[in-house]
Amino acid sequence: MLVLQYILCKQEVFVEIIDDDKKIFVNYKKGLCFSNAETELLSNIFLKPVASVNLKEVSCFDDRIVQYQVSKLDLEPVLWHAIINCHKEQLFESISNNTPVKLKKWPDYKFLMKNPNHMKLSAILSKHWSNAQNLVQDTNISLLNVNKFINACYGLGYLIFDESKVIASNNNFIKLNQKNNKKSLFGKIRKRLGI
Amino acid sequence: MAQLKFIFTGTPNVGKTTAISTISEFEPITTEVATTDNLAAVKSETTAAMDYGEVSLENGIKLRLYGTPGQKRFSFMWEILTEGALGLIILVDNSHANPLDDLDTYLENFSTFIESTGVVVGITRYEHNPTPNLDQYYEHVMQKYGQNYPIFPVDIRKKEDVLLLLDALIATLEVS
Repeated sequence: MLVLQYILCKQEVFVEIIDDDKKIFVNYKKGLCFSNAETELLSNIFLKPVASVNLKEVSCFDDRIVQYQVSKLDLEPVLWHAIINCHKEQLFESISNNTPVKLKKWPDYKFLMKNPNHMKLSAILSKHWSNAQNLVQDTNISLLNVNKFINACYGLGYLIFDESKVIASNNNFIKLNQKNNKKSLFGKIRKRLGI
Repeated sequence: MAQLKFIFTGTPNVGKTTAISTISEFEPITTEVATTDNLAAVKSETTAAMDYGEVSLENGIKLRLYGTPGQKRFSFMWEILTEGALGLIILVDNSHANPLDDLDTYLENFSTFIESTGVVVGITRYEHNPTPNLDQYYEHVMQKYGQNYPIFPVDIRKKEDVLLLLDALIATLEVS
């Protein structure tokens, strides 16, 4: 199990993680994260196996925050960064490549790292139920990258899933709009605005 | 083919003109008149007809950016401006007393246009006014309209925030 999975599985508990001279204190439920490491390094530590760091549950960490002089960080960007950079295809047992998923809200891209694939997947999943397999067919985004996005959205609570939802195969959401030439226009706008 | 134009709308003084100015190639052309109602306390002039900005694309194609008047008494302009437009950006001021009601005003008045195109919502002055929060916006829109529109807190003076709104809007328009 990765540190990341531990934090997401045990959302209620206060977790203390020590990795060499880096100290991290996390409580997912309260959105708390204190550390003396920067976001990127923190994300790397989150991707380490639990056994490779000193991890323990504590009743609270108020005194340790003072003792170690750690800074408060936004937990969401750290978790997002870690999951997007995790090469494990299936992070969560409850979601497989065939599980119908949908966004209940858009990831907050003002604070989260994004790329064009994230925008595309967000737009599709905010409107339609789909699954990883179908998204690969509809968007030509690799299964690994689709799964990273789904994992990140699930981990941060942006996603809902429902095994009973029926998904039409080959929806080709993107291709439908290519027929009326708009895609090339949107491409020009994106290029000009640098987005 | 539809004209290449996007519409910025929202409450008076929310920052529509500012949003357009962050990406337009020239200072927005405005049609401002002296404010005579309650708004006069915070703003001496308000948009009566429209704001207009522009971005040049390839081959002489222009992306046109229109800002609507915010006040309802100028709402006759809303339909005129949206004619043939690609999509809508709604800006909501979270420091107002009832920002969800403000959002409803624009979602309802532009509903026909939104159904045939797309919409993105930018929440301004959110940092110092975190209520209602993002979750409450999403719940409200889902409950009332059954939709999951992109909603982001933004600082409309920042170009990257305006581009985020356009990026999400275009992504939405690309999906059927």
